[in-house]
Amino acid sequence: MKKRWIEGLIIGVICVVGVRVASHMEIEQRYPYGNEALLQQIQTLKKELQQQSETITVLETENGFLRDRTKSSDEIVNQYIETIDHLELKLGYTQAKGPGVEVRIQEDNLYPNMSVLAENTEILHDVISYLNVADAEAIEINGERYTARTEILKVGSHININGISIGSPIVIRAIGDPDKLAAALDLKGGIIFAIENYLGLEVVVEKQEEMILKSQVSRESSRFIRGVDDE
Amino acid sequence: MNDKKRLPLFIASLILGFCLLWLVRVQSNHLEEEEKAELFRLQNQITVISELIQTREDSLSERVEILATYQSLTDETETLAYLREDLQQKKIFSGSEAVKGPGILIKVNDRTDSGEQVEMFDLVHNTDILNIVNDLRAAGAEAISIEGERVVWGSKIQCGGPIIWVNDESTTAPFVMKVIGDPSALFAAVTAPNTYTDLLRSVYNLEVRVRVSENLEILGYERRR
Repeated sequence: MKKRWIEGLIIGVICVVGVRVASHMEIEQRYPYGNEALLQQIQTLKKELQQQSETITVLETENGFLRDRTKSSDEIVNQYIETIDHLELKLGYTQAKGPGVEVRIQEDNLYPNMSVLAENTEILHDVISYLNVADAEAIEINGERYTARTEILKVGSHININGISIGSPIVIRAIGDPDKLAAALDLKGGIIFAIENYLGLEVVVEKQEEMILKSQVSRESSRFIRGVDDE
Repeated sequence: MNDKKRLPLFIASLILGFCLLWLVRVQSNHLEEEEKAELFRLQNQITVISELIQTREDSLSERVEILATYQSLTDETETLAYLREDLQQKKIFSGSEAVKGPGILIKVNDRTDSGEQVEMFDLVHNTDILNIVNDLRAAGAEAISIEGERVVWGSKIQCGGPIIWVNDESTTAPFVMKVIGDPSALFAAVTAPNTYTDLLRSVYNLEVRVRVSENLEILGYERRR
C-alpha cells in the first residue's frame, strides 16, 4: 500500500514538472524576450507621459503670466476682469488657492483586476456632494479639477475623471473652511463611515492650511447652448 | 503492484497534470492580458494628454489673443463692450445665465405599482440623481437642471429625508430634468441597455420617461458663491 502512494506521488511530481516545463517553453516561444520587451515599452511610455506633464506645467505658468498682464489701471475694466476671474475660478480655468481638506481613500490591492472604488464610483459623487454641502469653493480629484462638466466613470478596472485614468489612492482636495468640510465628512454614520464600514477602505481626512489646486486643462465648448437673448 | 492496479493511478495523475497545465496556462494568459491592458491604458493616456496639451496650447494662444485685443482697445466703450461679451460667455458656461438649446427632458418618479408596502428601492434617491447627472455629463451635457434648479460646479444634490436638496431648494418626486446637448447622445445615455437610468426602469421598476426636445430653456443659478 505504501509503495502505491510513493509511485503515485512520483508520477504526480513528474507530471507537474513536465507541465510547468511545457508551459514555460510555450511562453518563451511566444515571447522570446519574456516580459522585458513589454516592460521596456511601458517605461518609455511613462517617460513620455512625464515629459508631456512637464510641458503642461510650463504652458500653465506662461498662461498665468499672460493672464496677469491683461489687468489695467481702469477701475471698470478691472471690475469686469475681477468678475471674469471669479467665474473662471468656478469654471476651473485658473488655479485655486486656500485652506481646506484632503481626503485620501486607500484601497488594498487584494484583487489585482478589481477595484472596489471603480465598482462603486457613486461613493465619489457622494463625497463631492458632502463637500459641496459644506460650501467647498474648489475641488479636485487626483489632480483633476472637478467642474460642472466633470464625469467620473468606471473604465475597465480603473476610474476615469475628465478622461484621465486614476487609481488608488484617490486623493480628493477641497478648498473651503477646513473645520466645516471635515465635520461634514466625519459626520457619524456619514460618508466616511460608509466608505470605511461598507466598502472596507481606509480613509484619512486631513485639514490643510493652504493648498493649490491645479487649473482644468480643457475648456467648455458650446456646441448646443446659447444665451436666451442670443439670436 | 500489477499493471491493472497502476492504471487508475496513472490516469488520475494524468488528469491532475492536465488540470495543472490548464491552471498554469490560464495564469500566464491572465498576466499577459494584464500587461496588454496596462499598455493600452498608457497609450490611451498618452493620446488623452497629447490632446490636453493641444487644448492648453490653444488656451495659451487664446490668452495671447486676448492680450493683443486689450492692447489694441483704445476706446473705453469698445473695451467695456468686449469685456461684457467675454463675461456673458463665462456666465453661460458657469451656469449663472439662462440658456437655451436642443436636448432631452427626463422624468424620474418613485415606483407607483408597489402597493402599500414601500421598499427602499421603490423610491428615487439622491444617489440616483447623482448617477444620472454623471451619465449625462459623460454624454456631453452642456447644461442641466433638476426641477428648475441649474446644476453648476458646486451644486449639492443631497438627501433630505422625504425630499432631495438641489442647490438650496427642496425637490420631490417626480424629478423633471432638462438637459441641453446633443439630443441623440443624451437620449442614448439614459435609454441604452445597462445604463443607470435603464436599470432604474427595468430592474427597480421606477417610472422613467425621456423625450427629445429641439428647444429647451434652462434658467441660470442665482446664488453667488
